[in-house]
Amino acid sequence: MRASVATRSLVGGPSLGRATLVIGGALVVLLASVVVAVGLGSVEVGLPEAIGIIGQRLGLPVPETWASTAPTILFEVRLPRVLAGALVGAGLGGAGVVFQALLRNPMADPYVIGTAAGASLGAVLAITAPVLVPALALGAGTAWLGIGLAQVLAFAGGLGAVALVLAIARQGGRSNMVTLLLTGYAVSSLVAAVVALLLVSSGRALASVVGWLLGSLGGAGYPELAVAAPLVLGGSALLLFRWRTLNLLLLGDEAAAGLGVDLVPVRRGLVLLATLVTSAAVALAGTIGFVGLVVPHLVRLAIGPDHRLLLPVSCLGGAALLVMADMAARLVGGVPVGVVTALIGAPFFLWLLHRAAGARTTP
Amino acid sequence: MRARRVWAFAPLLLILAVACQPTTPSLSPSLSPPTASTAPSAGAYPLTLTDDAGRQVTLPAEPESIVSLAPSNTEIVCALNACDRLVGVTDFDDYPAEVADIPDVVIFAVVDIELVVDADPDLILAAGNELTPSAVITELTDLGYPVLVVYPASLDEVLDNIELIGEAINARDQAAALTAEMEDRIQAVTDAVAGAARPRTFYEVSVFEGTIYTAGRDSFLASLIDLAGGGPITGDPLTFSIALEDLLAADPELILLGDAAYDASVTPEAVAARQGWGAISAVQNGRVVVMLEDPVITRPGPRIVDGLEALARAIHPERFD
Amino acid sequence: MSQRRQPSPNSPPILELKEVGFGYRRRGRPDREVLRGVSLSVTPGELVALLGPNGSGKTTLFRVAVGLLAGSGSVRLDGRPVTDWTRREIAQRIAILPQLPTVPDGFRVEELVEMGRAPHARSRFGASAEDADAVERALIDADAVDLVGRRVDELSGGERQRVLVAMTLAQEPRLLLLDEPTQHLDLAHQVALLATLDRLRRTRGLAVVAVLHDPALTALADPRVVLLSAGRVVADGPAAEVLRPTLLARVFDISVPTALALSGGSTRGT
Repeated sequence: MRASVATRSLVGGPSLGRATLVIGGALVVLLASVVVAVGLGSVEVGLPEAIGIIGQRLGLPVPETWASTAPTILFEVRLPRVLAGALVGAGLGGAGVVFQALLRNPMADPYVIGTAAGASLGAVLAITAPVLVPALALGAGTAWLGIGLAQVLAFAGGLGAVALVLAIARQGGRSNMVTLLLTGYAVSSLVAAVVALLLVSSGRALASVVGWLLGSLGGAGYPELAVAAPLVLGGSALLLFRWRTLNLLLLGDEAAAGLGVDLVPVRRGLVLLATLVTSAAVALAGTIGFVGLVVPHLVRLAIGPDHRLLLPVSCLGGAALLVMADMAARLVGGVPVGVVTALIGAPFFLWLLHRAAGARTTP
Repeated sequence: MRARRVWAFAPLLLILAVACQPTTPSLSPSLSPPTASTAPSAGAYPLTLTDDAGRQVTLPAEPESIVSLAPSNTEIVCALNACDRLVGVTDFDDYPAEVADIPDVVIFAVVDIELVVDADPDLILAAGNELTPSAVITELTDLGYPVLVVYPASLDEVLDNIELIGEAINARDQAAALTAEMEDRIQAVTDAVAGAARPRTFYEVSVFEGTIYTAGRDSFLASLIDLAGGGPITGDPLTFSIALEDLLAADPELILLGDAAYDASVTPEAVAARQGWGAISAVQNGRVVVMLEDPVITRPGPRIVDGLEALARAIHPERFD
Repeated sequence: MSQRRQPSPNSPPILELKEVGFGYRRRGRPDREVLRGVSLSVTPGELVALLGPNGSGKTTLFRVAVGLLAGSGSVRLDGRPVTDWTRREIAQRIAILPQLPTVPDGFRVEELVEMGRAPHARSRFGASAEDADAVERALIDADAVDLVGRRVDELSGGERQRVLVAMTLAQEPRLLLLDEPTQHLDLAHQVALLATLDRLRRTRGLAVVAVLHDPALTALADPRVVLLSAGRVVADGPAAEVLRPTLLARVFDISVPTALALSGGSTRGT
């Protein structure tokens, strides 16, 4: 009966206190990143002015001590971009966790089963079609629900490529995860080749296409955010409700099935949700690399593999990382944010891996 | 598509974006009417103009502050004596000298929207053809700024653009005077080279990783060479590249080294030493010419006629003694 | 551990296999028959030891029993075809300990054991008091209480095996299918595990089918023994009847004296 005392407090997942601490901490980090990112830019808006501007927006009688352009810069230029960064980072971080669990592969990222390639094809088509077929120029200029054609086609392309991968993987016998991974690789390569072909023949739009492929948060406005936010946040929330299944999948197919997981529909549901989130993120900002691969690892090293915390904290962490990376990109002067995520994320990641390996070998 | 891989293309893209500017075919030397739907009376604001992207742009009043997103636009504004109205330019701008003091809002070919908003212009002159990305044009328009997209597809349209910008900033007379002078100089060039043999001319934009970039078929640059009395050897209209074997088959009688303006290692001797190039007539006859005027040849501003004259002198030195 | 409780004759079987056959298919055609005409029923409170050479079909039999593989013949769980149950309903009744389980990095012992509660989970995020009790009981029964708080990937093979057994016990099934549960365990823990299983079958009516390799250890638990050879049931009965050296020698292709030594012949009959 001594055992009862020893174990009871340890059962039932993370204690409420720890969960609050970890998620609260991540939330504070994200909020701090957002505040700093909105405060910093190529045009200086001082903290008192920024507070005054926010106060005025809230209807307070604040004397206007700032340049007339400052509110526009804060609310119309910076804030949508920062929010887009947070949204895309959250989506990629969360989807990365899910794909790594689904494929039980630490090299998996949200793009692994064709999302990025398909979305790239969609966006590149939208950008280059007017060049290749002048009759389509009108279509590209128009917006659909205020969303650019590139965004719409990127989203459709991401979903389409994943649907193709899933269909082919199922044809090739029972749909196991290795088949899925390899099919994703093959389809991605094929689609990437088509993208390259379009790129080469797209002369005029090359710069736009490349900016998109490298990932950029510059094009995101409130209409785009309004479409992407429900997809990313709703999808992530639905994924979070599946934390238990994600934990079980780590035990291997047989053990997970033995614990009540109906593998085929469960995996299909997870793949679709994660793809939805990824495609929405990609449509908003292009294919920003690294976040979806590394954030889950960093968070796992910090707080452990339990998806109850891993998933929400990876969302928050991915959001904070991308907000800070995009701020750095803006301040450096137009470096694609995907380059920054790799430049600041990779060394940090290597250091953490090194430290974790050291901790494990030291008795 | 991995970001790393694509990033490797970036320097190439910059070269292509800045130097090549392929165009829709429009080689006729005759002047077409200005694209602007001009208001009848001078100085009538609000003024609605149609820009080169086919967009209707309305200016409520004469623009007092102007942001230029392309060096050619900057040159046009300054040539219309409105340099003092510029409140933002690009970091590529180098002419006229006084623009050096104007704040840059385009850095490394990326438009910094915050800086544009901070400059709070009455008019933004963008470049077309994705030189100013369409996403940026949309964003600036959404922020409420009148954005005039300026993109000449031919030499004539450079003149049209000067008149369009003249309309926009209420400098019609200066624009008319400027274009009239330019037309005279163009006429002088075409007169000078009239009837002369047209040497097969290859204009080297760059040679990058073994790929040879030149004027695309039906491009602005090809039309300039044509006007200057040369027979342009052109590359693919979309990739601006030409295979070495196609170049050898075309056998240029004259090679113009536009890239020599930026890279001192590009010399006639270096060209002769390239594998296979020794067989080209131009190399054998010593007709490989360094074109230090490349910036004005590839920049569709008022100095484009300087570029045209430089090309004509290089192609037909005998007619300009 | 004697005091054998015979399952009451009118107690309905929890698992009932009739004439079950299974062959892995390659390119749509049967490749190799792994199970042939296997009939086996397990009633609550029974401890069944499954013995047989490598490749005799033991693991496949488990997979067919829980509906992970579909073969010919009939598999009934609680009187209904296994295919009529959802995976969750099956998992509430049958727990399976795989032979080569994947143990993910980073989880602590109690977290892994708690995963066994998944088929019973009702709350979205937390664990119920019922879950906590079950985990605690499982940790005690599998002698894994002392491992609580440690990371599973840092445990020794034997310690890890105890944690995995605890996870299947936490599932609180009515039938336990254990594929080589004694692997990695030292002698004391092997004996203790069998004692625990015997106690659970007696006190809670748990049915257990365990793949075992050691005839002597098997005999110690005095279970019903099913001997599988080349996909067929060649013997099914009390340990004393099935674990005969001559039969073992034939099935495992060893000499009779060796079989006698391995089955603890010298100590038997005492």
